[in-house]
Parts: sequence; structure tokens; C-alpha cells
Amino acid sequence: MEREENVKTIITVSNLYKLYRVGDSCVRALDGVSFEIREGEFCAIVGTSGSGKSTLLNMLAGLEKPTKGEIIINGCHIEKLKEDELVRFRRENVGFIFQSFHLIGTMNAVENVALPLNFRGEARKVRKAKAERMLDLVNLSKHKKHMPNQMSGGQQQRVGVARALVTDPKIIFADEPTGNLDSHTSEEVMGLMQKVVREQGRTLVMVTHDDHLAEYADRVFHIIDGKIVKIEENLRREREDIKDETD
Amino acid sequence: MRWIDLLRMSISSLRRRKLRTFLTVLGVVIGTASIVVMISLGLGLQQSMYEEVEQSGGTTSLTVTGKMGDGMYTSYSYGMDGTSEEPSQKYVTDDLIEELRGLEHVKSANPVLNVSALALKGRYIGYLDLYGMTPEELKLRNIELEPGGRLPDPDSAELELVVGNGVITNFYEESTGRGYWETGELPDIDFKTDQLFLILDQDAYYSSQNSPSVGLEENTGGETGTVTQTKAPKKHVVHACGVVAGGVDSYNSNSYSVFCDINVLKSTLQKEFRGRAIPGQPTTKSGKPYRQFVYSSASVQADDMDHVEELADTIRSMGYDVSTNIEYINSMKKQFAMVQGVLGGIGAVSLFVAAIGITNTMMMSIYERTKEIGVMKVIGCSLKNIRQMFLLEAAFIGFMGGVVGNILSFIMSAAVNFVVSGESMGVSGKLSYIPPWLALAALGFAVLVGMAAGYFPALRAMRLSPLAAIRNE
Ligand SMILES: Nc1ncnc2c1ncn2[C@@H]1O[C@H](COP(=O)(O)OP(=O)(O)OP(=O)(O)O)[C@@H](O)[C@H]1O
Ligand SMILES: [Mg+2]
Repeated sequence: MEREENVKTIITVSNLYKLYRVGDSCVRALDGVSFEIREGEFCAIVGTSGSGKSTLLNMLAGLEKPTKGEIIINGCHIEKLKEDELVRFRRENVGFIFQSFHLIGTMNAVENVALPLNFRGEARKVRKAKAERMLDLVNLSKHKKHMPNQMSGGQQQRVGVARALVTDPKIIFADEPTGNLDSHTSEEVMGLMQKVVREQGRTLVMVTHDDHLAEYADRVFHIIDGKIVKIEENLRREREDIKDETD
Repeated sequence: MRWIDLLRMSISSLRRRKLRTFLTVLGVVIGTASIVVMISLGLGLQQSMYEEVEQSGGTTSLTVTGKMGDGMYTSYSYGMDGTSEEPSQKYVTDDLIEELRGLEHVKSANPVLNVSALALKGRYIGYLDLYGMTPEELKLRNIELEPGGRLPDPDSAELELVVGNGVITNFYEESTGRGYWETGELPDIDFKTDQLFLILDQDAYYSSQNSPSVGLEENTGGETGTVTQTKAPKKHVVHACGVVAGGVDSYNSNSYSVFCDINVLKSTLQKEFRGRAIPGQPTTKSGKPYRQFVYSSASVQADDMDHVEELADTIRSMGYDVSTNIEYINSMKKQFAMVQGVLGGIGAVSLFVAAIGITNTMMMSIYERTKEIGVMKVIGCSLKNIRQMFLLEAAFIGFMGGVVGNILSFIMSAAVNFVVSGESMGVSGKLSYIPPWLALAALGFAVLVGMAAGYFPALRAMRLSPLAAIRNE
């Protein structure tokens, strides 16, 4: 357990509340959530539908403001940032994988992957090279020129993964990345994400309602009605680490 | 984000919706073209006015005339009636010319003597509007001559004429009284080679013409006085040393004038009317000629356009009438500004309609791309870039519309000029004139209108909540 001390905490959430007012009633989407996520960790947020998973993730990504509480990512209080500062924060620190891929329909795979680099003002040649490397990494070398509607759901989501990774973000957020895929393809994409994240030492926070897929993660947060009820350490990583060390 | 990438994205999103882009651009094309063509019509008018002004001495010239009853310079009056010698009468004399030359801001001052005369050639007779001018003044008028022509020689003993290109239409057959305007045929006269008889004493000519027929009959009736003096007037043999360039139908300010040297004209007149009053010269109460030779007007050149009005006021305070082209230009300018304002306004309305079209197109585009905009925001496209992207799109619509609109304007302008020049004669210059600055200004204006029209949609796109956008399935 001495390793733990070397590993930096990258996300700190303390006492996070999110209330939605709908008419006269008040929905507590998040009800006092606190946790920490360490650098290089693969975390899954699991819960039933309507439990507040997406709300939590959106707030971590700065897409929504919390009603109360603090979110410190990489030393930065993101609940205090303005919208354009949040965009810059996401551009520099965060990659995002969507449930329904959200590729730009008029761009081919390479262009879609290169888009975040475009927003960073990188030159075209550099963008193209990086994007192609990313597509090779997600095993889409043959589909570089394909438009989104010329690809299967699994292929599209792999493009989505490549797009999230291309800017070398510290953190990747994924909201049900396999929600629109069949179970076999889901496994494939999950395996890919796990591999890339491990190899490159990135932090991945993933929302899912599938307990089986959550097994890929190092830690699993169980959330019910806006409260974290259980944090489960997944022993597999520990086991692999031990195996690595004995090798 | 780099500008080139912004531009690329904007253009590609316009290309995605070709028909809609085309229709929106078409609106701007029509708007731009109508503004440009409308204003070009006003400018064409202005241009031809300036050309006219330039031909008649330019913007720095002043014409000084004496202050008198209006009958003074009509050539036929002997000034028997109202010409009592009041001290308020001011004549343009050599003294005045000297005085004018001494004034501040005066570059040159020259007398002009305008008399009318008759010219005979074979069976034709014609009226000439004869202008005696100094060589310097003739040069200033920039008269464009047919090749081979020259200005009158001031040292020549004979009158040498520069004949306007339209003067020939003033000739008619003496027997029938029919000229070019009646018959449509030009009199058989070539000023370049033919000699003319010039008659300065018109009254004498007419009375000598009438005397054989009328005079005989009337004589028996015991007519006294006038008929007795029917000595035929002197016929001066003159020739033209130059003809103003241009056909019979092409009009310029020199078309209907005949120019000669002022001193030759003056001495010819003085010789012919020795002891009598020269037509047009003021007389004293007793009918004696005024002691100094009086010119029709003085032509003054100011050193600078800005001093013209000041100079005009000075000369007016000396008691003379002054007319300048500046005043004409200023009054015309006001009118043209109004005409252009109205014409441009009509054009502007169509560009305004086009602007609404741009706004509409951009709004539609934003609704369609809500999801895309949201995703871009989530993956790190700054608000500024999103705004720029949409503004650029709108500006590009304006730009394309402006360019094509300008091309269309040039075509329409050429067509208008072609039709007008084919149809009517005598219009100098062009009806529609598009200077480069107008084309550029219209282009800039179209881009500006595009951006203004795109501003609100761009703000809207910028403010779209990324969350709402990506939730929107
Ligand atoms: N904009 C909103 N206005 C009002 N209530 C909202 C809003 N967004 C979410 N909620 C409520 O907050 C709660 C949590 O929603 P959330 O989207 O986080 O659920 P989830 O865990 O992601 O569910 P699912 O697995 O179905 O995606 C729900 O009860 C939902 O009704
Ligand atoms: Mg959800």
C-alpha cells in the first residue's frame, strides 16, 4: 500500500448538492456527495436510472453548476469558473466520450478525431498525423476516410474514444459509452478503453448502469438517489499489479 | 483556433447547404446590385456634369459681367432706350481687367467679347455666335480640335475662326429658309477648306437685302430716314483655322460657338463701325459710343478652387456680377446628393431584405446544428470561436453576394450605357458610372450587412447550453 502515497489525487469532490426545482417540488439529483479520485485511476459510477449519475458526471466536466459544494480538479475549483474558462479547462484537461457518439456527421473519421486539436489551434499537418495515430490505436486504420454514417456503432464509438484521447487529456469522462452498443461490442470498446487508459496512465471516470461493465474499473461508486452508498475496490488491478511486480 | 480553420469550417458548412446558401447569397446579390446601379446612375449624372464644367473652364474659373439692365449685351440693341449713364453702371473694360489681375488669388484675367454675326457661303446663310478671346483664354478652354486644326493666330490681320462642330446646323438655305433641322441634310460646307463671308453689321445687311424689293415700293410712299442708309455692309472673307472635334450630333460646351482672337475681332469691329456705335457697345444718352471699349465679360481664373467663392465675393463687392462654376456645382451637388440618397435608399431596402434573409438562414442553420454546437463546446471549442464561426459564415454570404452583385452591377451598368448611347444622341459621358470606390464600398457594405445580420444568430449559438445541446437527441 506504499504506492498509494505516491499517487496524486486529481479529483476531489466534497459535499456536492444539486437540486432541480420542477414546479413546486424539488428534485435532489445529488444529495451531498464526497469522494476523491486518484491520478491514473479507472472509476465507474454505477446506479439505477434516475439516480443522478449523469448529473454528477456533467458537474465534474463543468457542464452544469452545482447547487452547493466543491469540485477541485487538478487544483482548480471548477464550480467557480465562468463558461469560457470552463471551455478552456475542458480543452486542456478533459476528454469526453458520449453515449450516442456525437460525431460531426459532415466530417470523416480523421477530421472528427482532429477536431479538438483544431480548437487548440494546432496546424493541419500535425492534427492529421496525431488523429491518424489515434485511429491506428483504436484499430480503425482502414476507416480513416469513412463518414460517421458509413460506420457501425462500435466503430463510431471507437472514433469517439480516439477523439477523447487525441489531446492527451489527464481525465476522460464517459457517460454510458457503451449504452448504444450490443454486449459483444461493448466488451470490445471497454477492453480498448481500459487498455489505452492503463497504458497511457490516464484517469477515466465512466458512468454505466451495467454492473458487469463496471468490473473493468479499478473502483466502482454505487449511487442511489443522489447519494454514494458504496465504493467498491476492484481487486483485479491489485492482482495484476502484484503479477507485474513478481515478473 | 486558427483563422484559416475557422474559414474552412464556415465555408464547409455553407457548402453543405448549397441551395439555401445560394438563395441567401442571391438576395445579397440583388441588394448589392440595386444599390450599386442606383448610385452609379447618380454618379453618372454627376460625372457628366463635371465633364461639362471641366470643358467650360473648370472649377476655378469665374465669369465677370457688368451690372446693367438685361438688354445691354443683346447684340441687336443699339442701347437707345434704357441706357442712361448712371453711376451704378459697371462695364467690363481694359481698366477692369487690369484691376482684376491685381486682385489676390487671381491667376489670370482675360476679356471676352461675344458678338453675333452672319456668315454666308454659297446659297447658305448662318448665324454665328462669335467669341473673341485672348490666346491664353482659348488655351484654357481646352478646346479639342479636329486633327490639323489650330487656334487663331493673334497676329493675323484677317479673322481666323475656330468653328464648333455643331455650328453647321445653324446654316440654312437663304432662298428656302430650310436648314439641317428641317431637311435632315447637312449644308454642303466644309469649314476646313471653304472660305466664308462674315457680316458683322447685320442690320445693314438686312436693310440692304430688303431695299431692292421693299425699299422700292416704300420709297414711293415717301419713307424717310432709315431706308436711305442702305449701304451694303462689308463682307469679311474669313476662313476657319480649326474645327471643334466631334460629329454634328455629339454635344460639348463648344459645339455651337465660334471662336476668334479678341484683338483681331476688336480692331475689325472698330474699323467697320468707325464713328458709329458698335452693336452691343453701350452708348451715352446722345448715342455716342462709350469712351472705352466694353467687353461682354471677363474670364478670371482663381489660383485655387477654395478661393473661388472668396474671390467672387470680392468682385461682387466691386459692383460686378460674377458667376462661377463652383456655385453651379454646389447647387448641383445638393441635388445629386438628394437623388443619390433616394436611389441608394431604394437599393438599401433590398439589401435590408437580404439581411433578413441572412439572419433567417443563420437561425435555421443554428437550429439544425444545435447538437453539433453543443458537442463542440464540450470538446473544447471556445465561445469566441463559435461566435466567429457563425459571424464568418454570415460575412461570407455577404462577401459572395457583394462580389457577384458587383459583377452584376458592372454588366447592368454597361447594358444601361449601351442602350442609352444607342438610343439618344447628345448625351455626353455615361448614364451609369461605377467608380472603383463604389464597388469596394458596396462589397464592404455587403460584408458588414452580412455580419450585422449574423450577429444575433452568432450570439445565440454562443449562448447555447452545451448540456441541452447534447441531451437533445
Ligand atoms: N434539467 C433537469 N431538471 C429537472 N430535473 C432533472 C434535470 N436533470 C435531471 N433531473 C433529475 O435528476 C435526477 C437524476 O438525473 P440523471 O440524468 O443524473 O440520472 P441518471 O442516473 O443519469 O439516469 P440514466 O441512467 O437514466 O441516465 C432524475 O430524477 C432527473 O429527473
Ligand atoms: Mg444518464
